[in-house]
Amino acid sequence: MTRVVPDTIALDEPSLVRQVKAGDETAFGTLVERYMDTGFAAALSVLGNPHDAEDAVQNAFIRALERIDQLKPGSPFGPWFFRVLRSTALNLRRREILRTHEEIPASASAGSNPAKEWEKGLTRQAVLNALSELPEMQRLAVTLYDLEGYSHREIAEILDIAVGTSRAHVHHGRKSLRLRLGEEFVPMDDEERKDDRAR
Amino acid sequence: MNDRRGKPAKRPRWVAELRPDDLTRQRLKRSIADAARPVLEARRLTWWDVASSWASLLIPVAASIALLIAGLAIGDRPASRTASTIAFSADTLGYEEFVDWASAEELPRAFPGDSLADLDVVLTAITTEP
Repeated sequence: MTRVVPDTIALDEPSLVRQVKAGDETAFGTLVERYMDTGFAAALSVLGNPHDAEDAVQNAFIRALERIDQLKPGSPFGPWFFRVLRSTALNLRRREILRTHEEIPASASAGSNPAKEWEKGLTRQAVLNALSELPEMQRLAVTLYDLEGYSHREIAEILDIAVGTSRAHVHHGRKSLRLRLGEEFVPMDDEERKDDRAR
Repeated sequence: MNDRRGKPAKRPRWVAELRPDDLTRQRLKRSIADAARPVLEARRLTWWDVASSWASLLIPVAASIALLIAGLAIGDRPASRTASTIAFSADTLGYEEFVDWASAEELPRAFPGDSLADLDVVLTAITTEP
């Protein structure tokens, strides 16, 4: 599934943030709609458990709402939100309040094709297992790169690392995932092809 | 449509596996909305409070300024001036100068501009028989 983010929403973010600061529920709903899926996926890549990922995303949105005055006027919401989400997810894990769940896809009971849903659950588990093999920074960098399409500069800003470090994390992370999941799941992108040709 | 790096938005399959299913999305959306409502409500009240506090600060200031202006206006009325400082305008009296009340109460001269020598001539003329 590919969900493309219209540029207009990204452009409107500062004005949405202004409205949220004034307590506008619709503006906040738009931001939630925009970042909920990717936030969940990022949290899942860190926590490895959908229930904990849900908690992390919900807490991160509320934390972001409570602290939205700290966001500089005119700044985009996305990178700042992912910073909040990252620290929320790491706090959740650090406090050891995470439950240990046997992962059962929530949609399996409600889906129209249980076999397909079960298969999807297994595939997700395979992805989570492959991700869990990566160091945390690599996992986050590669998730932000492939999930949100962030540039290395944006990833560096979100994770508080150097641009070159982000580039290295993404390169090694994608390579490891490709080894574990196959080219079908993690195809080489232009940047990697360019790197390979340079070598 | 392009992604943030300006390339065609084509997400790798492994990322798609991490996205929430519809049921999770609905549940998540509802729980976020429920948790956010009181925070947003508090934000709206905060804005109203700020506006109200500004109004409550400005109303006494505005009233004070109005009182000050009114006070100045009353104090500036002509009746409150002393007689010696009243300036009569050219429209009402034909000249504009500060009136010296002391000289104004003197008896008018019979022949303004006459000299003592002129008076002597008159007196001599009256007393001299023809």
